[in-house]
Amino acid sequence: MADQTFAWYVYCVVPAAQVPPLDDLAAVDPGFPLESVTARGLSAVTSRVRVADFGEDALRRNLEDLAWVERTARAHDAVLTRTLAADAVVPLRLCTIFADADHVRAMLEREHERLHDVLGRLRGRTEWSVKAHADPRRLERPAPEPGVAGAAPEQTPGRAFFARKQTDRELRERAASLATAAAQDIHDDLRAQAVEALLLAPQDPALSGRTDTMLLNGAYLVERDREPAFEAAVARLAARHGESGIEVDVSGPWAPYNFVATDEDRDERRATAPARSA
Amino acid sequence: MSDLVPSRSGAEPVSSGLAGPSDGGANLADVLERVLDKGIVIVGDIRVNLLDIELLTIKLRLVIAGVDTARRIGITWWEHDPWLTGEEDAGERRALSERVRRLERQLGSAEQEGGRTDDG
Repeated sequence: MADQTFAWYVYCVVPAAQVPPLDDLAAVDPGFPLESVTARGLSAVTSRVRVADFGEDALRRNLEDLAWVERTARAHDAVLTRTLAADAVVPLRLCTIFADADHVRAMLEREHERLHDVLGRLRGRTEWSVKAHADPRRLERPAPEPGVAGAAPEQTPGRAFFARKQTDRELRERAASLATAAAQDIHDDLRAQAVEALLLAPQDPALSGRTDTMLLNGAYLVERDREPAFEAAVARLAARHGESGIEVDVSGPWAPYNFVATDEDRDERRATAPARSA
Repeated sequence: MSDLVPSRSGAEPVSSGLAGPSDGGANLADVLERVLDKGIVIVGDIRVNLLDIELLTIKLRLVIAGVDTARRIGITWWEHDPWLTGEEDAGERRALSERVRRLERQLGSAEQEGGRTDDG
């Protein structure tokens, strides 16, 4: 591909003839329109990119630039969100790129069985994100007991110090078990409303903009006709745990990014995990 | 496009309740954790070095202050999710703690032979 100037970026695959209008959306390179490539009853949503930006060397550089990654990731996700209008969508990982449209078509030919399988499994289902946060200081605050606050003014400074340390420890332990129980309660409840559920790692506060502690980062695959029930469940949980200072947020629908993998894929991933941590 | 720095700064009170995507777009952390290392993997012509992506994700995760805070208040159950940690990791942890125990035993008997025990 030495002389090549352009390549084809693929966002996702939907059932053929189900590509929604995409004219008003910006592609990962806003200079090019979004178009679809169809084969074997499948349509890949694609757009052209410059090899100068998305070639191997350029990507290696750009993927270390968080501003570039954010721009690209948001454009990628915007396309995916729009394609939720189709019966089902298979999200591709960021930066899946082919030399030309023929190669995209060849990919659909090659992968059609697997893609049809995944589309079948995801039909009529969307992904929802539910997170629980708490300010640990608020969780650790003792329940207001007017009589206790002014108690024991006669204590020596030493005794008072140890009494305070003891109280702090008890409050911390109470906060920890409160938070764990709440996260478990929320996840169990929502898992029952969902087709599949996954726990994701807590998020980086620098990216999420949150200063409090993330207790739960759950992803749920929900039947479209169960979405109102799911949202009602989140509202109920938010009300139940709001009293103790735990905030429950929901966002969605998302393209089912977290649920494209089959169990075998996950086993494979698990098997390769140590390589990353080595 | 918004800046890298989230517009909700730490000083502001965080919005509560059933917040959808705020500030006219989804939370950057939500987007990145989905598009970077989820989604179906199909090998394209341009081989993005997936390691590079993983490097970036790992770098992002390294600065998860939230993990430390969570651990401090004892929220660690998610660390034991086998899919998140990898079972081999658990095996490695077991092997390591076994090794530590063995070393401690050796150290303990060496100290007793020396005839003195430090008392804190």
